[in-house]
Amino acid sequence: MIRNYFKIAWRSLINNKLYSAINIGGLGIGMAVSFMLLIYVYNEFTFDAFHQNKDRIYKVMRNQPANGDINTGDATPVQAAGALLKDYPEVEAAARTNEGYDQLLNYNNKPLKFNLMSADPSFLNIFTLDFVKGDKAEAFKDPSSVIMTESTVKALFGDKNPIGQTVKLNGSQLVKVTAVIKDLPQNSTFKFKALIPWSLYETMQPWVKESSWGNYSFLTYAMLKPGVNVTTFNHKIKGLIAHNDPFNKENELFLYLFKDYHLHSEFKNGVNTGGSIEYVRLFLFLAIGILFIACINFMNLSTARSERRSREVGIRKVVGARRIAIIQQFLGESVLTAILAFLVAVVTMTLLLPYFNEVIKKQLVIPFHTYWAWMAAIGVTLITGLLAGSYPALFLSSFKPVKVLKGNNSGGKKTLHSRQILVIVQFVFATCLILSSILIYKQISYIKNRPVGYAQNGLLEFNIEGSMYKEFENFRRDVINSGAVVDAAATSLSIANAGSSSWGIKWPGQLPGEDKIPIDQIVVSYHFIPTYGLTLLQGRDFSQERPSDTLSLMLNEAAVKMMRLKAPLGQIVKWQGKSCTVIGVVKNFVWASPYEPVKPVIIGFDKGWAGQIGLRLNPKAAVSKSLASIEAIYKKYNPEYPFQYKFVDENFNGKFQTERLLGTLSSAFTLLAIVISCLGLFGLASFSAEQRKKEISIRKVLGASISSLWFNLSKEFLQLVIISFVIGAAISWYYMNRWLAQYTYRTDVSIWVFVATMGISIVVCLITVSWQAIRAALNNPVKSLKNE
Amino acid sequence: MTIQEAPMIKITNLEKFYRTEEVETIALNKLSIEIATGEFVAIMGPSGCGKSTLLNILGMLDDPDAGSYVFNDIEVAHFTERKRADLRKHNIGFVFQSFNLIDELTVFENVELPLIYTGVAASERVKRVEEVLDKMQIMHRRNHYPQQLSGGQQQRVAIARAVVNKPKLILADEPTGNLDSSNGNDVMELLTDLNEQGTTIIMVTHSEHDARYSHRIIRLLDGQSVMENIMV
Repeated sequence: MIRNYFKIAWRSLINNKLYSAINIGGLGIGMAVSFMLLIYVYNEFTFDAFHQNKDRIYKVMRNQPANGDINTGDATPVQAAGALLKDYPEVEAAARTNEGYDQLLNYNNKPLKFNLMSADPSFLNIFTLDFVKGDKAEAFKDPSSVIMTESTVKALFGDKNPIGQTVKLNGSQLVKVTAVIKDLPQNSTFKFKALIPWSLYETMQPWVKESSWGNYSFLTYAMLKPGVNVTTFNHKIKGLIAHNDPFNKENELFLYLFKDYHLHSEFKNGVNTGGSIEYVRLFLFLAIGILFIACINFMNLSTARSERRSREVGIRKVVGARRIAIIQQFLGESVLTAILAFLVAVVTMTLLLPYFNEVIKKQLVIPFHTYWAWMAAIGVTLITGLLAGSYPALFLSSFKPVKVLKGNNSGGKKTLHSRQILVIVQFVFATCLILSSILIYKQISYIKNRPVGYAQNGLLEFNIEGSMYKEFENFRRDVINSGAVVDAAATSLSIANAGSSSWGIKWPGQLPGEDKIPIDQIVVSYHFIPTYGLTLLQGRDFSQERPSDTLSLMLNEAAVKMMRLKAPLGQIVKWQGKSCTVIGVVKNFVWASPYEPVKPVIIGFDKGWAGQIGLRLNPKAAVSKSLASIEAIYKKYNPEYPFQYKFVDENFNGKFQTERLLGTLSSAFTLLAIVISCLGLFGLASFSAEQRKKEISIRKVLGASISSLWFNLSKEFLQLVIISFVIGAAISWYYMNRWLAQYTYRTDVSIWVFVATMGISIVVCLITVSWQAIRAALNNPVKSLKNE
Repeated sequence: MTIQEAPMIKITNLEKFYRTEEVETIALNKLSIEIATGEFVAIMGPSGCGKSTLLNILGMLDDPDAGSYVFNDIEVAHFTERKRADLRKHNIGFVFQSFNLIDELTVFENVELPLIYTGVAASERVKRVEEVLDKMQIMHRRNHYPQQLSGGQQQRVAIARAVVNKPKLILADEPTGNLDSSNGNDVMELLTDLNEQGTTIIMVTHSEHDARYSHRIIRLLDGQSVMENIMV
């Protein structure tokens, strides 16, 4: 019996190639996209889950009340790990790390940059690292040791045994390879390629050891003993900072489960408010939604063909089939279609995944070799097949043989009704996506067009490394003389990314408690304003001619406003323990989030605090030529290091990554939803054209024109699309307003967006439906009337 | 040919109405008929007289609104669809005017279908289908699809399918309606043969010529039996 079903199903697919292609293709693409999203969702849910002690590993977090708010962050005092371990028996192990960043490793005059992180030896016991060579217990015995990942080893040593080899770190420090670990999985918070012991980091950066309880610069992890209740424990460590640092006694430390942090990293007023879990939920919703509309499509197309299958159902019933047998048959067919669609999905997914990875900036792989993935995929395929086939199976099996064999199956009107609802569901989904895409792009362009307050074009930045610390002034002179650059300045951080603040700042007229407010800071040397193209509103820039400028600073407008300084110039502001004179006020510039109002910024002066160099390219010279001469000069002063730079405008655009990702995905899904929905509409139109064949013929015989017939057939679908638009617009209006509400600078949900969406829907609908409508209208009336 | 006394079919005061929103049409009006095992009965009458309705009820494809229908001593008028389907597939074969073969199945597979639904084992199915195809002289066409056959051949396949389960009753709804006279006569000969081998046949027809093959003609008008002719 099963064989017979599959035989019929197969032949019916072969005999209706266009229909089968639409059906299998539509379902296959829907499944492919859905599966890709599910891989992403799975990848996110298993983030950091490979650590064996994942349920006991915590990130030490910090709550810092200021100005009625609580700021939560993960930077902690360097002493926190030691204090936790010493004073709290619940803690089994604790480790400090810095943020890993690219550093130079040189073996046999082959300098390469790798993400290098520093960590306490206990880090190796807390987290699960897969040691391939070397002994975990011995790896950090020697303070000048380094653990490398396999890919780092491959890049530096090729096939040579790396253990015991010495490499030069940042041009001077010698370190010995003591162990090799497998590359970290891509769904890991840690991205380091090489790991050095904390003691070596302290040797290289002596200030680290000296830094006080008030310096929040490092990350701390703690592993609690089994069975310890973290809530109770957090209560216990509330007073840890107050005990060690009475000046900041309001600040508190608490533990947060490490594996949860990736998806739940946002805190508001000390309470977790989610994070990228929102995107995971969105993706999950999209995955189910896309699969669902693909299923609806399948249902629509299958029932659309019911006219042609009804006779077969009738015959089968007459020769003895029970209804259950017919249901089984049609479910079998839809499962077969789903299996074929699954094959299409696997191929599509293989082709699309690289692009998807590029868009979402991940390295997802199709888990071909894991059995659970196959189980899940087959499960989803079967469920899809059963779900998609359920309605056609129930509908087709309900046919009365007496009626269908006579050719007057009267189920039509009713089925059109339920199929209309299915089409409305599809188009509501499509409408929501069209509206969301337009609004996301509108928001991005709105923010992008916001003035940034400095000249972004022709500005490039790079990290200060190696000899550049001492050679900056010479380098600056040479690049300006070469004509490649008009000005250059050293700064503590990139102008594209805020990342430093301090508190304990005092100014005249300060209210009690205001010294607890963290204020953003950028520390610069000379030529900052001309190089970056900032606008000076009052006063002057730091000057080489005035030695006293080492005790001066500039403020932005927002800082002047916050400090309520009527005449800011000449006022004394206490910053970094120094009493500094305000010598200038600059116009607000977008440093932190482009979505937020500009925050107060202190522009301090300290030649020793440099971390970045900014170059203003000569607008009259060709960029490629300028870059070549800059690189040549750079190599002269800093031969050990490769010249790696970033354009500030590109760097700045990185801030729109999330929104752009949303925009790209949203438009891709919009396109997909439109295509799939149109297939469904096409099915409904052909169904309706077949049902109304007689009516059309009679109208034609009575003299109806082709255009009036076309309108007559198309209008019922226009009605559906308009109903869908109204529902979809209402839903989107609500959700997009909520989405926009998170941005202080936001575009408005203007009327034209809705008009455009409705226009798109109507045009797409008419194009889809017209083909069937015109075909039906052109049909020879004699044929269809004779059949009656 | 032997006609036994106990009736295979006995319908009494059978009624069937068709309702649309405003109009109620009476298709069968207190109709009472008896048909004996082994009989060959033709049902005639003008369009809309209730012939097909009667055939559908007799074939248990439809149920009556009132009255009694006893099939082989079993009252089936109020059987559920499932019970009717079970009774039907073991006892009744159908032949239609428009053949009603499944286009996606070959000749062999079309004829095999009833055996599949009655759960006959695969090897037995092959044997029985070949037997009946042989008898219908379409064995050479076993792997063809219906659209590759002539109308006469298609009707032979349909008859083969109707008899493959060895039903006690064959219901034929204008079996020659779509055929030319030569093919039509062949089909009537086939039905006569089957009847002579003991199968009861009830045939709806417009053709006086075809009706002459039967033992008895029941003439219907407005859902009532108006005349019976016994053929000699």
